[in-house]
Amino acid sequence: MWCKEFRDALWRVSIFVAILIGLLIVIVNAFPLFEPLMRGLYSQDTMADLLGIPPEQLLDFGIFARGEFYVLDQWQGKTLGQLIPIFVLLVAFPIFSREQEKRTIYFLLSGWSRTSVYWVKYGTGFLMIAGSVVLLNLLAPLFMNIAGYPTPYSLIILAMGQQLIAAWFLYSLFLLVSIRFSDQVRVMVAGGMLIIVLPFLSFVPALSWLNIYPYILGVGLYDRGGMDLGYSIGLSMVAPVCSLVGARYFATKEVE
Amino acid sequence: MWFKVDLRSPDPIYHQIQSGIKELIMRGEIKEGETLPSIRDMASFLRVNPNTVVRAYRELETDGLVFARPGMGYLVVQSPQEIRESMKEGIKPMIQEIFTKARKLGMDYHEFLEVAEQLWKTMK
Amino acid sequence: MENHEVEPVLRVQNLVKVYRKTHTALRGISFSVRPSQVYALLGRNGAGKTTTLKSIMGWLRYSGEIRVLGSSVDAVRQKIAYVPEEKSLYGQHHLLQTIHLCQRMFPDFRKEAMVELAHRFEIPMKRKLGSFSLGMRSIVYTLIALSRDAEIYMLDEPGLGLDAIIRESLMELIREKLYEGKTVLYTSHIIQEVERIADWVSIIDHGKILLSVLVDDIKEQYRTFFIPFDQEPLLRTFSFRSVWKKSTHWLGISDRKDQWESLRDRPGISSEVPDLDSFFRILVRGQSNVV
Repeated sequence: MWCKEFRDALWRVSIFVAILIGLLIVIVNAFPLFEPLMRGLYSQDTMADLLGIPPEQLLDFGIFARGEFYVLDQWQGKTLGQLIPIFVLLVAFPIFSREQEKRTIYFLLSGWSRTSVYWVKYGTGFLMIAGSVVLLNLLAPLFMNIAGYPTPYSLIILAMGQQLIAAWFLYSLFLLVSIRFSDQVRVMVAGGMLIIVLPFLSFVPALSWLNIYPYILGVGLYDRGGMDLGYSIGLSMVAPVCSLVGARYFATKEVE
Repeated sequence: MWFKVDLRSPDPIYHQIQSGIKELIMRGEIKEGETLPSIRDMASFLRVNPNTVVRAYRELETDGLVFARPGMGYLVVQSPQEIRESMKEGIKPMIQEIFTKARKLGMDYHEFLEVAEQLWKTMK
Repeated sequence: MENHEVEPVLRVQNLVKVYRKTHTALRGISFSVRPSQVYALLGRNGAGKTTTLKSIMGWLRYSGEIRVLGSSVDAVRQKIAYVPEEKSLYGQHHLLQTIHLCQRMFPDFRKEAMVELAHRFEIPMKRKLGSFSLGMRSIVYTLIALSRDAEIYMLDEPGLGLDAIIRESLMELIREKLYEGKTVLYTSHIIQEVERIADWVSIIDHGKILLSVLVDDIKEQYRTFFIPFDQEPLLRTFSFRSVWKKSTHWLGISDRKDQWESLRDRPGISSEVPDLDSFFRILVRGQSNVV
């Protein structure tokens, strides 16, 4: 069954990874332009005047010449990070709903127990997501180094860690949605709405903590020098709970 | 070609199979001392449920026509003449039913014989 | 038949299924299937045949008691070969891949048997199942189930979408299972099929079993009676299992041998030995009228 699950997801995962590698190459090549661009933008800023301090003290422009910062800011922060939730949804949405929609679920459940079906599907989907995330994260400093821009791995690996935890949480959540609906389109829509709503939650102070986007994007990671422990621990606890709920749900639901 | 069964007939299938077998024996196609076709073959040939064939064969055994030998099939133990005699007995209720119907119509004995003779002659 | 003492392969007792508090699909279904039998659930579309099978397989929640091979269905699932109504397989696979999948899924799956059957039914090995016609996809699922060495085969409308010739071949395969001592439960709305192959039939309509009977016994234990309207009072004085009002007369089914003679004597009344077809029609269209 593993084989079939892998093969089913292979197309969409490969295309996504390929596209992103392409984007990464573009971004890596654009690195030399970054510092001059930032200087250009911020020298037009009147912020320094407003604050009454000399412009040179406002920003350490040297930061923009550091590969590590660049990768965290542009790659994880603006490209890969933004797409992580969508990627997770892309992998998760048909895992259960397609079997139900196409009615192949009876065939599957004739041969294997509901528990093993759930966990095998869960495992293969997660492995594909985790593998892709790890690959896409580690390729960034790798390419940078190959291109001649020295880039240490440490912070990037921490950012990757946050992405993995967030992805794990989102994955177990989207799987629940995939089990709930026997219609692949509905799952996409429901998951899509969830993703869209997230950033808007920041506008409501009481709910802003529910927006996990900053966590995924690694906001503040560079300054902190370490992972956001609160979110990391929190999400790491919610994710397994969601997963177990999913297992129970799948084991007991009716198969129409 | 052994015989056919008719699902539309008022006769239950297993009964038709019994009659069919009896006829085969009377015609000499299955001789005394030979075994009946296997249940598989018969069911397959007639395209009916094998359990129906089993029931027919068991009834034949109860009637004393055949004897079931474990692993070796159903052995015919009556001669064609004996079977013919018992079948003659079996035909009587059918004739009775026709008589009853004829009486209901108001036919008398001579009318009936006329019709019977006519039909008998057109047979063969 | 004789073996009443034998443990039933399947026992369904008072199966009730209500969908979302509004629609009662099954209103208390009870029947038993003994070993080495072909048991048919015969009914119109929407009568509840598929819901019954899905409940037995544990796909649906229900109330009532169901025992398969003496246990709950989950405990013996490996011994059941089930063919759902939809008969959907993975369209992206071709038959050979599906067979390999089956080998891993079902320990009792016999590859050689399936390959032989595919050959016999002229099913291509290397074409994607998604490109098959409805009939072909349907038969493939059923053949896969029949290639398994299961204890009990539960087939939901196996003849659906098949032409008469293929259906006949399929019936032959089901017959083979009997020789192997297996049990087959199947649903159908095709009467002729049931008549030839089933030992027992339960006639189901609107979620209820109207009657369960040994097919062979129908002709012996029942008579259909033609009752013109002016003889309507007879419907009350004699007991009928079911009566169906037609345009000029009533049709009734009686299982009371003691009453047949006197009924036939009445003017305008005629009787017939029923075949499964007329039996089914009168039962389903009529109402029970037991005095």
